Amino acid sequence: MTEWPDWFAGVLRARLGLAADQPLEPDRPLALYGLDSFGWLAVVADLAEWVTIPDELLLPSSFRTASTLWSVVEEARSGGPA
Amino acid sequence: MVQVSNLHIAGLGSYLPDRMAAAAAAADGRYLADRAACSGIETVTVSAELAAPEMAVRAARQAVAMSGVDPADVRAVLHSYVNFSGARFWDAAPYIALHTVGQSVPGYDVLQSCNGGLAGIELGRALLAADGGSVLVTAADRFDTAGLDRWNADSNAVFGDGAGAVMLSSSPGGFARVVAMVTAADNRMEAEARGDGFDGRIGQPLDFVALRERYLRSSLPLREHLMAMEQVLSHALKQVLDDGGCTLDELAYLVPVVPTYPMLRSMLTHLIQVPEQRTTWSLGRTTGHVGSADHLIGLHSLLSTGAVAAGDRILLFGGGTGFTCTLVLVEVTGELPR
Repeated sequence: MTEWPDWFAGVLRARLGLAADQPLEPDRPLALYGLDSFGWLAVVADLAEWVTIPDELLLPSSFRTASTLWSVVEEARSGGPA
Repeated sequence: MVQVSNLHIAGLGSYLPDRMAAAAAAADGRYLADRAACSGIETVTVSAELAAPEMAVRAARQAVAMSGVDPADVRAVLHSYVNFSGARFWDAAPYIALHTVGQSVPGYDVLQSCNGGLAGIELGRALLAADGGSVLVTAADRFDTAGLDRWNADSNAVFGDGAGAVMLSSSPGGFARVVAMVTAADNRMEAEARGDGFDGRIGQPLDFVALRERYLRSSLPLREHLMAMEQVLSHALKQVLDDGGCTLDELAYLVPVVPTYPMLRSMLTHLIQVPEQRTTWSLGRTTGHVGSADHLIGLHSLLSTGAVAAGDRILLFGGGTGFTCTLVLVEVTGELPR
């Protein structure tokens, strides 16, 4: 099970419109939650309070699942590959 | 110059081979499970025998017969495709012309990626400008070449085989006319299907997901790419609706390129607010993305199934990597000839 901080889950859950009793599954495609390419940029903007994701890490594959996005966030926070 | 309002649709045709279920492809491992879960694609059309130009001939013969146009009045055949047409150092359009309108009609292969079918209509109008007459526009694809995995090559589309055809005429008549047409481009996006270099070795595996990411790393970053795409499409949409004196609410149908369902939903949410029920998605999800033929197939389906009637307006909403989009606003003026 991927562990991530509450702020990360909170941003995603809000953007995905998940109800309190709906789980955020780490490996479920975010597209299945209804997140599209315009939503990707909204998530990045929401995350900016905690992390700035550089352009070179903003790729479609970054947004495949919550787990892949968290890996990108960790990489951005560390300044290099996670 | 032939005005757009004097461009008439005199004939239509399409050819779709048998369908193959996406669920079966996912079950036996040919279609990646997480993509199958998202795509919304139920089946794709798969040609077991006919090459793409042969399918184009099938579709074109329907359009020619429906039009009643004398082949002697056909100025040109404009043919488009996305994938390899079956022979090297060879053009497909002369073959299609030979087997439909005769040995003396010039054929031109018109390539503009998935926008090719509508680019053919745009260029057809220009060809008719000088002396009138008719132009046969065709599009066809078959996605089974070595190195191309129709199910997994792209995360935004699943490829299907088939063909479409339309006979354009400068003479009044037919059953539909082009009301407005706009082509817009932003060439900064040309590398989306190329990546960051040139590697044209035939038969190498095609991975559009990887190529797109290489392009985003080397050319336009994702943020700028999405903004550029939105700007060029929004500009073209506003222009074609203004030129046609039409609002989105007044459209009977939208015929888009056939993407996966998440891509379609995104487009309908952010770019062109038309209810899904007023698109040709119900057909597209059973064919997959038939290269540059999606729009010709979709238009033929709407007319041939009686989904539209005289007075209805249909927007053919094109777009192909490059990036170039052609939007064609069509008004139905009558029923298809029986």
